[in-house]
Amino acid sequence: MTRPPSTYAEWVACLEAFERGEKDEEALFLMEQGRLEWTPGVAERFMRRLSDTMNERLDELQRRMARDFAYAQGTETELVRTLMAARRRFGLLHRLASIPALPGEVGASLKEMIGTVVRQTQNSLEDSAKTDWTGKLRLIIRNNPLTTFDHPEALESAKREQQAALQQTAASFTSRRRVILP
Amino acid sequence: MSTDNERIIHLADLRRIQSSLASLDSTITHLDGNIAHVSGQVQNVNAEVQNTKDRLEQLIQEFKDFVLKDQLDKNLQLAETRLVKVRQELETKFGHYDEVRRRTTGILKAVDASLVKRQTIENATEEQMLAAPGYWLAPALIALASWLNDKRELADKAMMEALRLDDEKTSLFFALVTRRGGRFKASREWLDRYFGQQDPHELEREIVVLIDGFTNGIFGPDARTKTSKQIEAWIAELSEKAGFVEEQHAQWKAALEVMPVAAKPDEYKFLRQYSPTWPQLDSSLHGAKLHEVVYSHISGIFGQEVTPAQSIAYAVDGMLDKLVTNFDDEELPLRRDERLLSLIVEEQGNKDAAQSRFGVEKTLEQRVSLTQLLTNFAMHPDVSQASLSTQKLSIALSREWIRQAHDDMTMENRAAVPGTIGLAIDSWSGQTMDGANEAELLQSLEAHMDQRMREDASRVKLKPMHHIALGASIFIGIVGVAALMPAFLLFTVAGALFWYLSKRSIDKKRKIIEEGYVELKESCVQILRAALADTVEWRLEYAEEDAKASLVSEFLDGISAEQYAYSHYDKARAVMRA
Repeated sequence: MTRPPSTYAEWVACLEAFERGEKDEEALFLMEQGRLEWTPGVAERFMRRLSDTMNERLDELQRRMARDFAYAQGTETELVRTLMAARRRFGLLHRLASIPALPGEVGASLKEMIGTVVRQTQNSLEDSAKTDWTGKLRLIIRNNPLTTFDHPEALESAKREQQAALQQTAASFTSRRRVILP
Repeated sequence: MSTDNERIIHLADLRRIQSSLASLDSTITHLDGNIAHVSGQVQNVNAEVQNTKDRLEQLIQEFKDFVLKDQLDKNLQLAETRLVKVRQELETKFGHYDEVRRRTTGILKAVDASLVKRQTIENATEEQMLAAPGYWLAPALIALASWLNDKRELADKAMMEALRLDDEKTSLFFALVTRRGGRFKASREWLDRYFGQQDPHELEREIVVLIDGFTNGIFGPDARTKTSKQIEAWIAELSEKAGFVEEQHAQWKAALEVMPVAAKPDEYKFLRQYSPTWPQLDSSLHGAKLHEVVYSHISGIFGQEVTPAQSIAYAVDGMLDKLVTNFDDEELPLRRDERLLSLIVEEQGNKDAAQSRFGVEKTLEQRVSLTQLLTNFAMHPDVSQASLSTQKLSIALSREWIRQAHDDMTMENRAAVPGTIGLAIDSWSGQTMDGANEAELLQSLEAHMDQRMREDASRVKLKPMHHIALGASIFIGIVGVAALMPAFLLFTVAGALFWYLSKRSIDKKRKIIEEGYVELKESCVQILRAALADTVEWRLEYAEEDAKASLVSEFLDGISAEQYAYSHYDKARAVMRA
């Protein structure tokens, strides 16, 4: 996975890397520049792969969101972080559905499917927040809606957030002295 | 005078020549039109020939399919009719045994409930002896009735007669009956007698009843330990034989390999059609898919819960029913026919498939080795009459052989996976490992098609005749000019026209050829891309299915025979060895 995919084998390698959640940015970047001959025999297989990848990522997203909410335990910062992370992940899927190699109709129906899932998730979160009598949880969910996942600024900020996180991780390994003995 | 005459001759000749030239010109035009027409027709004919060829091939295939289907339908119909006849024959010849069989548990239950007079029981059993004199169960029932009525002398006599008719079944029968009555010592003695007659190389089929009794916890602690030791001793004895282990592996491998794998005829349709390697690919994937089938089969058996019978009496009655119903050798030939015909019906008339399954089952052999019996119990419980507990015990006892056979199968399958996959599209052929060399193959295919196009186009060219005609007409023109006869130039014009029209027709043909090749190339490129996509998916699916091989080994490692011999009806505590 070093160059934009143009053969089915290269597309499968990119989609599999994306499905596993490894190197999302790199895989998406390559796929956005890739091209695919939309011919019989290849198109059906590609659609099946793409749909499997989308489903797997959506399942993973739901699992992770449920787990993060459980860990957050009502902490405002954690809740906001969880919502932002979920929005960023939905944004990644939206980017996958927008790759130029996909025919217009296919991309549109995938985006519509993602939009539906996001709206349902947002509604479900808001419904479950109704049980919080303080109204704080509901406010947090409303102020950080998942539904803005496809806004350019949200996608940009998600990208920035990820880069910052990457830099922070790198810095934590390089800039700090390691004290071995107390 | 002579000059006038010459002029007249010249004028006359010229007129004739002019008319000849006009005629030649019209002939050439007509000829050219004909050539173009014929060329068009030839192309139409070619297309039609190709079309007819395709349709003919399709018709031949349809006819073959029809003949095959017709044959299968006839086989199915015949098997169904014969199955009814065989069952009727079984009913006619051995139906009266049923009456005797039904009385077996009937007597025991009647005595339990104390609802029938002992005299009635005695009379009924004696009547059965008259109805089925050669059947071992009739005197066995008299012995049972006499025992219940405390008539020892008659009981002994009847028992001797039953033993004379079938010693093994009678011994097993009384081992179970005495166990039902709580006579542990008598039961153990009958069991000893039964074991004494067994050869682990040639066991009678009814041993399933004994093993069922053992696994379902029917025998007392003594008998259970004895049976367990006996089975271990048999296996040890068999294992000493040279080639035994190999035989077991082969036996299990054959049993595992014929397990049905769900077929997907529409999957990989491009590889199926355009790869000469497809038969190997298909066989390898089938072998890899077997891992999950084997795992599901074994884990499915161990996942089911054994529901013990309400009491020892119910459990023994079940065993007695099985013993007296399913294992009489007189019925065996008909039972074998019945089984084979049932398999033909199950396989929708495919005799070969049915025969192959029947060959592997070997469940209706009169005498088989203990290990074959264990295979039968594990793989064909319905035909071998094995209970769920017996299936579990059989797999647990055979787990090493199953594992080895499965490992062998996996190794062989992995070794047979084609490293390179051949592709043959139209007249082009190429190879790929995993579909990654798409660009290289596309280039090769396009180069091949271009080369073919050039070769075919180069064959369509002007013939020497055309060049000779052009040369001759030019020569005539030159001669005409030299001889101051400009009319000769008409020959040159006609010749040039003929050459030009032929050239134009040939250019048209070349264009048609080129267009045809462009279409062919496009279609071949699409097929190649689709076949490579199939290749990528095939490799991924194979890897996924092959990875399931470890599930079987891990599952088999986790089971042991001791876990599957129940002691449900024992009151005493089991003392474990330190």
